[in-house]
Amino acid sequence: MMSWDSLERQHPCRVPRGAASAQARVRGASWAAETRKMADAAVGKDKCGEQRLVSLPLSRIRVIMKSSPEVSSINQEALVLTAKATELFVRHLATSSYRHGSGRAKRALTYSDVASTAQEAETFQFLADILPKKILASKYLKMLKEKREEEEDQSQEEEALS
Amino acid sequence: MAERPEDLNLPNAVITRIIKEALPDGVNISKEARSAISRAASVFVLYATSCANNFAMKGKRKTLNASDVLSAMEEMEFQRFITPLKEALEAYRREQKGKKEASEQKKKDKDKKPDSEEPDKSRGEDNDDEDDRLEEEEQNEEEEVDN
Repeated sequence: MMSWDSLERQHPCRVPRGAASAQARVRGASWAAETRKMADAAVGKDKCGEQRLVSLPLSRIRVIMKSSPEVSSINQEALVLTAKATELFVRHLATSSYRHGSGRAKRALTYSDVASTAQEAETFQFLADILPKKILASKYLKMLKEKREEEEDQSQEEEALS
Repeated sequence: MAERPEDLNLPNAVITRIIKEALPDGVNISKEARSAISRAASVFVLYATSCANNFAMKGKRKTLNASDVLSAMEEMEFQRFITPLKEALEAYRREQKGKKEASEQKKKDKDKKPDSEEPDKSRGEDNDDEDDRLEEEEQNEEEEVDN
């Protein structure tokens, strides 16, 4: 039996509309169910569909915490609070980055919004090293050149003085 | 390429959802922005853990507890997190208490009726987690918790 897909491919205009929409409906239904499942998982709904206190997976948070060398053990409450704090942090960084610089409503959040916030806002200074601002390669090379010239001038001055 | 035994990244789907909820409807989040925020979140966990651990060590304890995390937030200048965190802690403790009472009630009911059928024993894994949490909670009650 020929599949609808192959039919469509061969005769794109000829597949009866009813069949195509039925197929779309079936695809749509299972797609919707999949999306719901993913959304539930993301929201942190457990098997009963109840909302969990935190959405980030505790096991992963624990892995990150344990990667810190001096840490021996973590009590469950500390784990839950750290997960919750991380969630609050993500929100805070997202909104701060979105509002940073312009006051007007923007349509997109870009990397440079986040990097600017990391570089400029005091609260996020600890992120400065991992979120550098992006510059054009040509500009960077120019900066390197200028720095080298500066260092050359300095050493020449020191020689002259000695 | 060397294999990393531990993945220190947080799941993209969850991070994306948290960001979307924080921003106005219809705002697009670039893949790079999402990745940047995700990495920042991992660094945040490390920083918070290190900070909290200092407080634990100051208190001559080897186990990080809730008050250590709260003190860390203060230290990191994220005071705005403290109230919602305290609320979350209260809610979590209530939830744990509820679970504990529910399982104790189950035990009582079981003892009363020795011939009764086994109650629903699905979610064996969750029961183990619960026991771990109960153990830790008992330990926690012995330690002083600053609120």
